[in-house]
Amino acid sequence: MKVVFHCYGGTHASPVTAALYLRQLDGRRRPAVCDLLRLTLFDQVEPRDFGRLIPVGDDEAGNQVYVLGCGRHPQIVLRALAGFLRLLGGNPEELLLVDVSPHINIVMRVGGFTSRVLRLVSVGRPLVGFGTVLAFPRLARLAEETRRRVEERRRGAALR
Amino acid sequence: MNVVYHCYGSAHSSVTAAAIHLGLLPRDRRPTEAELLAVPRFDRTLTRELGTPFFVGRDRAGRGVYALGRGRAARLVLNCLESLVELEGASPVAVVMINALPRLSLVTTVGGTLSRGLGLIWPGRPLTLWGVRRCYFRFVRLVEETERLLSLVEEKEERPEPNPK
Repeated sequence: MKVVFHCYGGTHASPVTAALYLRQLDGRRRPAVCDLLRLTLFDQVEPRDFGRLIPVGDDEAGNQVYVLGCGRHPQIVLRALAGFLRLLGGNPEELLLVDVSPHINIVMRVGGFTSRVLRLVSVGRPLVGFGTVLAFPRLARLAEETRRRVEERRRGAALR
Repeated sequence: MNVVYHCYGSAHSSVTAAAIHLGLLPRDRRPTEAELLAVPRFDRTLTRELGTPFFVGRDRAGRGVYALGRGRAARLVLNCLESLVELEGASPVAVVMINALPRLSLVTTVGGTLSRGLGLIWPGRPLTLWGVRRCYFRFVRLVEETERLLSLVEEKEERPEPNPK
């Protein structure tokens, strides 16, 4: 299975949720901003790379985990992703898409925009880091819920 | 190998190019309006379907021919394909993207926006028909160039360079 965490830029909320899902971050403990900055992808993806599927690792069951920034056109990008995967001989039903964007707060939006689009990294990065810490409990719940979905999907596949 | 003709809405340019490629439309004359309307998806793709590569058919060389509308997300869609090809370890020419949009006249763009974007099939559809018929031979040339390109690539694939980098 391919677990894809997607949001606007794929560089703040998605990598943090993916790290929570992979248990690289502890969801029970609120992290410091510097813990987040240690993640390879955090605040690193450039807008011109939006749309690229970026691998972040495999979970315990061997499912591949990815993050994806869909910009302003998530529906188009996600349909293209499924279509291209089929064209390349893969199975789109293997995709498990997790929309992280409803869990993004205004601080993350402003900070992320400042750092990535305006390129004022020294201002935007701490701000988006702080916003992510605020959103952390919600992202942790989403990661937990994703684990359940993956488990359900696995059981469903085993029954078939 | 697969070839994907892409344009804004996969309703006019890309489906016309794909139909010419597959021999569903003539190459030596302008098609009639009825012939154009008989093309699969012509002026019928919906906005909510953008992004999906639609299978139109298989050409004589066995390549899959597709039409895709990438809306305003061209860069995103191309990035997505590029990263997926890398991750899946597929051949870089497993999916060849051909932009069918620059061949279009403004009339078709306006007609397409009316018909597909706003749902005004009249006067949108007649305008798109007129527009596509008017610059029809540009699409024929695009398809012929594409076919030449594809056979060149395939030749290269069969006989790889002696010293690949």
